[in-house]
Amino acid sequence: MEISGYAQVEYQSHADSEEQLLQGSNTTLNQNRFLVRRARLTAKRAWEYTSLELELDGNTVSGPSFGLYRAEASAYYRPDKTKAPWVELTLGMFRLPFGFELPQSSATRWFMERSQASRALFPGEIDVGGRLSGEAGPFRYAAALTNGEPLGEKTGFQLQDPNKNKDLTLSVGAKGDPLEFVTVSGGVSANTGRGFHPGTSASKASAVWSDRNDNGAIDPGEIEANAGRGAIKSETFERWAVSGDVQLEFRTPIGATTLYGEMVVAKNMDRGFFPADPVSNGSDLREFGYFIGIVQEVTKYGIVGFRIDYYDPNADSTDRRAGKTIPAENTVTTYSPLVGVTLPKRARLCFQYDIIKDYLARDIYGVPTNLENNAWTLRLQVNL
Amino acid sequence: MRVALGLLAFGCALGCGDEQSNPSGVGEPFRVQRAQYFDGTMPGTPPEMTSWEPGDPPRVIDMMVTGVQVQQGTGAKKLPGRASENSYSIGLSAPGVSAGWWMIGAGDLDTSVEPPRVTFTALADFSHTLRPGPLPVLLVGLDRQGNAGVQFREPLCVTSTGPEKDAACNGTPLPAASISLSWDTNVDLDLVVQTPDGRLVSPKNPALHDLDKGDTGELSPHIDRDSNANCVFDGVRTENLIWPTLTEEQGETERPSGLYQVYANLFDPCGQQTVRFHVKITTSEPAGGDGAGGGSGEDQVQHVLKDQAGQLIATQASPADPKGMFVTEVTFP
Repeated sequence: MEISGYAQVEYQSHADSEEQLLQGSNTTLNQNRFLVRRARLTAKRAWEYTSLELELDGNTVSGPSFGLYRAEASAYYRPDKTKAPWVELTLGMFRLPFGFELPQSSATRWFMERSQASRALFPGEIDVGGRLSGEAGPFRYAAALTNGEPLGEKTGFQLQDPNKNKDLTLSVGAKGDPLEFVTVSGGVSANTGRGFHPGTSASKASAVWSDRNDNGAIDPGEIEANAGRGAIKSETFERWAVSGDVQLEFRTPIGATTLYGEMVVAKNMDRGFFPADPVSNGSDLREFGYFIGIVQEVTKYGIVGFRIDYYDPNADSTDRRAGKTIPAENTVTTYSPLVGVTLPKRARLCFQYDIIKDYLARDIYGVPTNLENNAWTLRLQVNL
Repeated sequence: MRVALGLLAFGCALGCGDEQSNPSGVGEPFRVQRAQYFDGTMPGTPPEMTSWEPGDPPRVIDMMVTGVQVQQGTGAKKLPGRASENSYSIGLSAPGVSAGWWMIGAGDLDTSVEPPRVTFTALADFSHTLRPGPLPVLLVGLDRQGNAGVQFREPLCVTSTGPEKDAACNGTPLPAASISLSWDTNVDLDLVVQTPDGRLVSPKNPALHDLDKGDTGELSPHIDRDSNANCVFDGVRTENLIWPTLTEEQGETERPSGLYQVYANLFDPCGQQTVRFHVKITTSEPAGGDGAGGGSGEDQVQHVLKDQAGQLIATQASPADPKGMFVTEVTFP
């Protein structure tokens, strides 16, 4: 049985941090803190035709948390034991085979987190369901049928399924070495399913006080009767996403250079940043995102990198101001330089600065402008 | 060195200069909900008695505020108004109590008036720490091009949650004497006072004397409220035993005499771990010192006899205890 694991412990600093609580909740606005971002322990045992892999995760992102992160029970056919199976059926909790970032382990990714678009469309990498996957020569494929409510999604149904529809994820890709010092890989992915708009329960009749004259006292005419209301049914809606990704690796005397990127277009797919609900919104929400990253090894002990990622959660966003409806931008662009030192396969210490360009603030005339919310992270990762 | 300077210039090109912070402003004494806060002086020119004409910079035309007196700690006070049609945003500030100002968006167009106006409603919070008295709020219209017009002055006034109530706004007389209990967290804390004749006065038994049938007790010494009763939070967190100052028509003002003992009774901690409280005992008299009642607040002198702080923890909750924890005592002359 193989036992492995790693811990990522970090200090984060955010320019928009405040020593206050979010109004209406007990969520702290202070984000300048030490954090156990991930502490993962994996146990794996493989036999001739089957394997079992369990991964536990502990973290302090929202207070201490520890639980099952991944559980993959697999059966496969693998004629050559030195290569991946031709065909493998996996049931359980697994990384969704969508794009480049989702299937990638957080332990191998150099940048602190996945790109904004990836985190918005798939708040967590993990979903529950079944997956058929395999490799043949330079080609790989995967098809997964899952509940469609991945770990970390914000509508309250993570890893459950409020509708009978199952989300289908398809992915095909290839990897090759056209030159001795160059490796090229890439793929395309698609996901389709149905989202869920929760209805409301029936309500009893009630009385509401409306302090019309703001005097803090109940005056005549300020008590209003609210009749009981019938239940409102839940609804489902269509959503999909398509992505393409490519990676180029050049091996040079000073170390490998990896240039990679991914682009995704989607409809009603955001579940983590600006959750899409076309039933409430009255129209579909179209999302678009991409990232381009470069990572350069500096000997086998150093690393520098840079990533640009862009995400538009609603291409048709509007703003209502002074009686007029005007187009608005909700895009977020993040520039992330990274430096680090590493002991190969044992530990890495990385510093990443995120320069975030968005439209979450307004200037003194009310025009949407860039919010002061840059952040930096210093992370130490040690592998078991 | 060149590489470092190049990286610095590149980073600055990406991240310097165009950022706007958006703090929650929870600590501001005057706060506008769902608004953006800016440090510094609000744009616009001081209020003046001229009317807005088409072509002028944007301007708040009028306000329709219901009740210009606001109690300390009031939240979500509606400040509705109308501004000139060329307004894109509305700025609000309370000079003297805040180092910055707030901005909300201009709302829908009101075409029932000519020329049309844009409407807006600010939801304002007023801190417990605001000093009772006049609190003029300035408003200004802003357009997308960066023009700000003449400011509009809305004359609000902050009333006290303490025994002074609206004295600083209306000139009503201060109470002849008062014993006040105020606290800092949402617990059900009760002021209990034992009078020289052994009577316990509390929010559950608020009158200092037995009342005649039909007498509301407003003109005789009483405790004015039961704050946070049964953990229904009212945000006031203050209870006052008041000896009202009466006008000549109302009768003779009663003044306390003898030994009064003050207790703080933690009736229900409401899930909180601890509460810090303050007991303040005051008397007031006419500025001339002749002891006559009925003067306005401005003509009176207030004396603070005691100002005592204390703390209770959740395990000290004692709903069955008629008194609670002894805090202090005072002998009125």
